[in-house]
This record gives sequence, structure tokens and C-alpha cells, in this order.
Amino acid sequence: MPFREKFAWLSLISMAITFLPFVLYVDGKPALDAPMPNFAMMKLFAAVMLTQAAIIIIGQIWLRLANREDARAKPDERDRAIDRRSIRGAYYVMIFGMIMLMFMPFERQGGWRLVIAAALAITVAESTRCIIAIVSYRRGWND
Amino acid sequence: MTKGAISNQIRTLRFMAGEMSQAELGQRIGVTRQTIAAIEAGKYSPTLEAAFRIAEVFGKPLDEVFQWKT
Repeated sequence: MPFREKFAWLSLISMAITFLPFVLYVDGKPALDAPMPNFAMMKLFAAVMLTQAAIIIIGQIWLRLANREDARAKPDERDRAIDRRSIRGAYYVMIFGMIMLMFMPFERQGGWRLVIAAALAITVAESTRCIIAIVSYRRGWND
Repeated sequence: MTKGAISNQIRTLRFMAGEMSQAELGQRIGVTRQTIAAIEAGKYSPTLEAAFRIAEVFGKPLDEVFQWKT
């Protein structure tokens, strides 16, 4: 498996085991619409973000140690082509997410609902980037 | 636009070059072993520059290494 595909898997898994359960947990909770600053939600969100960052940092260190030779190699033309393709896909998802965010009824919803909606848009865009990269590495790149 | 696919003779040429490894070929043209494997399997079409570099390594003209099939 190409080294950069492993990174994409790591990022995807880290989001799946941190942010996804978090969103499912807080969805529909009254605390979501509590007035800001709502420290309880802030702590929970910070814990989720820190856990995800820790998984990615530890995972990257482990992958680099386990694949020292591949880790030293600079991205080649295929890596760069796949990168361009996956970032382009993620960009459209991000723009769509941000446009959807503008239609949220700001005056009736708590600040954390908006924060989580924005974080969800970013997470879905990042997931799209990872999925496109994984599919491109696995199934090929011929367009 | 006519539909087609690029095929190549890299596996055969590596064999004829003393069973040159994918890693060695990759190193000589500046790509990773995985990219050479993807090119051989038809999963990635290299840039024109990389294609010329591969042909140069084997001392063959480009059309003996890569073919266009419709």
C-alpha cells in the first residue's frame, strides 16, 4: 500500500472514531442550543479535537517509523496528481457545506450548533479528500 | 473522441534488463516503486516526461514501451 494512502486511511479512521461519535452523541441534546459560551460543550469539543490530533500525530510517527524508506521519498507525479484530484473534490464539498451553513437560522440556534455544523462541513470535506485519494490509489488514475 | 487505453511493455523490458526491480526503475526516473507498479498494471498513465525517461532507461523508442490501443 502506498505510504500516502496509509496517511489517508489514518485521517479517515481518526475522524470516524472521534468526530462521528461526537456528532451522533450531541445531536438533539438540549445543551447544543444553550447560550454561549457553554463551557461543558467547549470541553467536550476540545477533548474530541485533541483526541483526533493525538491519533493522527501518533499514527503518523508510527507509520514513519514502520516505513522509513517510503517516508523519506518525496511525493512523485502520481502522488501530486492524486493530491490535486482529491483536494479539488474536497473543495466543492467544503463550498457546498459553507453555503448550507449560510441558510441556517442563526437567530434561533445556539452558537455551538453552528460551530459543530461548520466542523461537520470541514470533516465531510476532509473525508471526501481521503476517500478520493484512497480510491485513486486503489483503482487507478487514468483520466 | 475515440476511446482507448495505454498499454506498456515495462514488465517485459525489466525482465530483459536483468530482472530490474520496480524500485530501481522508479529510482532512476524519480518516482516511487508503487507508481511503477501502478503504471505496469495500467492503473496510472505517466506524464510524457516520465514515459520518455522510462524509454530512455531501457534504450528503446517511446512507442516500443507504450502503445495506444483503441
